[in-house]
Amino acid sequence: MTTFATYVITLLCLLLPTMGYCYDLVSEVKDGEGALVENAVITATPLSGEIKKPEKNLTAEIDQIDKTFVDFVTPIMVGTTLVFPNSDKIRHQVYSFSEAKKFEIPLYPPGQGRATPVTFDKPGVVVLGCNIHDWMKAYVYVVETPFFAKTGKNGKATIKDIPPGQYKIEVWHPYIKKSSATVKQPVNIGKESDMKVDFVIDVKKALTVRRAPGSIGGGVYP
Amino acid sequence: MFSLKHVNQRVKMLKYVHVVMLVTVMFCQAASAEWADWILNASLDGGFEDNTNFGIEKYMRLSDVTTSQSVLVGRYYQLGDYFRLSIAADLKAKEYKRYDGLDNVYSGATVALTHKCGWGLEAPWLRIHSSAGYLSFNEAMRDSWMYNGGLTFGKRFSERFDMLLSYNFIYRNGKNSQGVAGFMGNPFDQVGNKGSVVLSYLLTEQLLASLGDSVYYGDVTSTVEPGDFNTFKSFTKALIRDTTFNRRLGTYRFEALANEFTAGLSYALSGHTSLNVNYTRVDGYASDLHYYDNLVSTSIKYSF
Ligand SMILES: [Cu+2]
Repeated sequence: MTTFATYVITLLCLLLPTMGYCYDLVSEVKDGEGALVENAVITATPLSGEIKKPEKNLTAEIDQIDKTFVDFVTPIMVGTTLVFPNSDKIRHQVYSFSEAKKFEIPLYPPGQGRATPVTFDKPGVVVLGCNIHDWMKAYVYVVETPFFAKTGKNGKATIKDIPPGQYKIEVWHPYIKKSSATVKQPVNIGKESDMKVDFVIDVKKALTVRRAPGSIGGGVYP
Repeated sequence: MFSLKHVNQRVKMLKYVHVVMLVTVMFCQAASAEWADWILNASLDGGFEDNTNFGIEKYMRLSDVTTSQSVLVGRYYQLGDYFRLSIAADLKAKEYKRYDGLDNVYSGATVALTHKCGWGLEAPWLRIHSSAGYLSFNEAMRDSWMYNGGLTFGKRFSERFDMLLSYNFIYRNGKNSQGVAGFMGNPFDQVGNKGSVVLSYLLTEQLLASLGDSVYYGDVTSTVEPGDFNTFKSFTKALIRDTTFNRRLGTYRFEALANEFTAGLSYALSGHTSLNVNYTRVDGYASDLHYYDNLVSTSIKYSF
């Protein structure tokens, strides 16, 4: 009986990958003081180097709500086209000086589809700003793998549907310090003990330009 | 220092700048230049001033508690990538607890053209601005037209630190006062030049500290116990009997060099609202005279 069970399990383990059975990888990110870290991006890259090209065109969006980019951090795969709706009743502009993607969307009015979409064709970090509102800032993290997820307020991220195999798991955050250990490998997706990969990272106390009016004047570009 | 000819030239220029800017705004409206954003700033203040009248002798320093409210409503127009034009209506009211003759309402308009030298938060910018309005007091002898024009240079060095440098030409045109015999001028006809610097530093995500200093050279008024008016003849041409402070005093104009230092702390309650505390010290000098004024105030400010 035991021999039979072992046989069935072994067979399933051998067959499942070829049957396309996939796994979810859960990560929790904390800082050095044990606080949960939001907006960290976890990526899983197959060590085999084989990355399947997505079957359809990838799209994502960054909205503008109350003169703020939403979301603050948007991870996307190389080749993704980002659209920039404007949910405010005023106009915005979007620019990036980042190496991975330099572009400008001139001033555009409220609504959907009023700004030309932008395709991100190189991996890297792209910082977005708005020339009208200096405090507006957002990060696009362009990655080469289709397997990524962003941590929520609870510091947790789940990358869904990863095919089994050996992977390199990495963490990134817009304010991460260089001293942080950001890579864990090899991680064996499919092996139960490897399905939760946590990180402790050092995060800079970074600030954005303060938006509220100052006491004398200044503080905000008029 | 200010010859009449120079003053008149500057006043003319100021009015000219104001008119040009208003015409530009009307043109932008007509040509439907791209408006970018609304301007809506409001402020509620409460404060204490220990020398509301710029009294020089210690016994003449009249202190008071003040409250004030202000609203600025207008629009920003974006002219291409690097120019921004703004026009706004400005309303301010200030009340004095003890000396209600000083209660005043200001209504005016401000136009400004800002050039930002590039994109991004660290790009420096230069603004030329002009404002005109009417300042109306409970004690009508102080009513005046107010004109202001100037340049501001702004530079942000990082998310934390920014700096403003500005120059202002200030012209006040008094309406109603009647000079004492022998002093025909109106003390509320005033001209002055002011240079300012403001440095702001973000201490935490919410807390912004600011330091400001400005140097003013021009006309100021001081209110005094009149005594013998003849003794004023050597240094002023404008002196009136003034009942603003609930007794018979005299207000006269003189030229002074004044330093105004301000330290402020601002706590952001949200992205739009802040709670502020300010301390200002004014020190004015004219020949062998010295006056000073200490002001403390707290305010709630809102910006759309
Ligand atoms: Cu904007």
